Amino acid sequence: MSYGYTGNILHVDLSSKKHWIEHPEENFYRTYWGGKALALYYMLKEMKPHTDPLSPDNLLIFAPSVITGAPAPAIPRYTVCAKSPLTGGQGEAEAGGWWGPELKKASFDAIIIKGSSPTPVYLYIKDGKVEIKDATHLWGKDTGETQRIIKKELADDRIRIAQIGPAGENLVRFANIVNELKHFNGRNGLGAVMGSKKLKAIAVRGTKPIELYNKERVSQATKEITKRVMDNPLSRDLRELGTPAVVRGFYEAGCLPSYNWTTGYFKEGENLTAETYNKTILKETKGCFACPIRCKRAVEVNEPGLKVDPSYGGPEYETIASLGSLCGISDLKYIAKANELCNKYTMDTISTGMVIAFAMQCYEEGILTKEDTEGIELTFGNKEAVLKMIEKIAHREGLGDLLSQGSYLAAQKIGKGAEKFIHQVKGQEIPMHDPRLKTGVGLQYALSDYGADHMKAAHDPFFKDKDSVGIKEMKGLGILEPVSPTDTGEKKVTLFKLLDIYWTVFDILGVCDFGYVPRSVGTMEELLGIICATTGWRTTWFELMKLGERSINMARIFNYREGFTSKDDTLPEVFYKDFKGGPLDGLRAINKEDFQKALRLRYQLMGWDPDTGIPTPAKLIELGLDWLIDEVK
Amino acid sequence: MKINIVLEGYLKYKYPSNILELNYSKPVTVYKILEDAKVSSADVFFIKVGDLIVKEDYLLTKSNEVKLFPIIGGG
Repeated sequence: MSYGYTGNILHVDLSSKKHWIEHPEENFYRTYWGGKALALYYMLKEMKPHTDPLSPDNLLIFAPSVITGAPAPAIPRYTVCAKSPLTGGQGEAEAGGWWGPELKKASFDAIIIKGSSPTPVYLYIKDGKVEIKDATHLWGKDTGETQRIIKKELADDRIRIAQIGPAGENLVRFANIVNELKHFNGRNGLGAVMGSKKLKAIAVRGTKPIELYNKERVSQATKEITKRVMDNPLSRDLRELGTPAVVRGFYEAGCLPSYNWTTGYFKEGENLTAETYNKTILKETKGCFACPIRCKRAVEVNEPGLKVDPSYGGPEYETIASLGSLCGISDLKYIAKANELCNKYTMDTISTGMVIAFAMQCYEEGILTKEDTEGIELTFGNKEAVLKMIEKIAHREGLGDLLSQGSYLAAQKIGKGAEKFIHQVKGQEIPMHDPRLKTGVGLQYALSDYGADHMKAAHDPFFKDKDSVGIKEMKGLGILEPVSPTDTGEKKVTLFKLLDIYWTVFDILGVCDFGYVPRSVGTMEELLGIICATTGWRTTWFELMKLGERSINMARIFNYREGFTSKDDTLPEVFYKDFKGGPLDGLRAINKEDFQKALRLRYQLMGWDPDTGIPTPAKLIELGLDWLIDEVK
Repeated sequence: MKINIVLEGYLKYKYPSNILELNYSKPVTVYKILEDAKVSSADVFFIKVGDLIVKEDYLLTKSNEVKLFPIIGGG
């Protein structure tokens, strides 16, 4: 009898239209647990190096974890993995919502998809039964329309649907996957992989609750955490203001990414704050499966010529900055519209904002002309131009076709010095947190196997003081002393080695960082208790940290096979320069030499070769990955 | 001199009021006013005095408004 997991992994071959179910042993689950660790097992075993990401040979894997579906706070997430068409390396993205728990209730721990259908299809999974259904009538439709039609034709309004919109169909390299219209596997272009397989959607419905080893213990932990969430100031801030709460601090400090990262000073920042958001566009707050925090927003605009449908949620902080200040836009209503369009078409809002801001700078520098833009005045601050460019990118028209390849490839094709204006790591555009103020985040940007990502570790400020949450609550990991957010020394490197692994465990298990320390009130002991009570496994944080480390090493080897080297572990040049303008003018450049030393030390702490960053055979043996030793010889 | 401490973000939920007023007869560091106001520096990421971002050792020599911004994580 298994608890937490179903014991069923669904394999689907879209080329042959066949599917089968694998029943792995308990030790398999106890080694890989779900999420990216499980996905990477199949990617390393079954995918040949140098597979074209948009070919039928790429695997597309949807993986919740052994605890997904347990009715405990902030564990709603699931992972999608594939080789990324944006980076050419390991691609992954996690999403909240309800889809992951529903897949578990429908009797599957993961779906491994290979091949490609000649015509559009969608998967329908209900209580262990699987159908591959025609989706010709859905191809070309936006996400809202697709969801409405599928629910109607399956005559079940409680079906949960993960799907792509036209951007995924059109193979935009930063297309994403959405469930319930507003929860995204956002980054790495995994929607394009889904589009290349002609897979429009996966509709799931499960009526069987997850079997828990100790239901009472899960319930008790849920009650205790929920009570504290309701009382906690940080959780209240998330509930009342959502992630846009961070805008004010960044804007007032002068580190809100603006005008394609040429400055952090955005003088109209007040227009973008969460307080303005709540007054002008917020309709209601939303949440994910079994979560008491409810940080999600739904926005509505009803003005002549500008309407925004709340079904598509509302802009998060990342979107406000990337489609707002980064493009010189200070009108939240237009940012809400840009967000809605990206969500209808399934495009990552960070990369979308970044490629448009890049094109705007190229236009202002004379590298792109009105002829290139087909008459669009692509200047910073032109909000109509942003909406037009989103349409062009999603449908791959004109300049939009070029930008749909991501800023790295676009800059190479444009030439004329355009490369100076891109800000990316491993081909993925950087998120909206400036590492000059949080150097640990910078280390994670550089080291992330799936390109720059702000969700690759907890952020530095939670460890800045002896009374910080991270220091008080995470001593069990050996985190005992505070470190300055801007430090790049040995203590910072050691801290972020641990945080990278800890966060990787969160990602694998589908845990939302807004639910547990250091970002929230759930303790490490409570999370461990929920894991034990769900699975019946008497696990420890030692075992969990080894799981995280195992997954990081598997990703490292996947990328090594694809040709990545330590030269790809970089930061954009802009962060080695001081801030320009605003309160931080002339301050805070990261020292490049110190940063290089930090990276080298990190390799050593991970048990990797300090020059190449490749895992050593001994490290692989320690982690039970001896089957990968031949890959590093 | 009068120092108005303005608590931003979630700090305003954590302390009884979002504006705290303190009076001093001589120059005082930000560190001291945080201590007097019983605001934990663990909660504070940015400190802004006028248009400047300052550290806790910054010396306030005249009446001023000190804005405190909380720690900011991912999102």
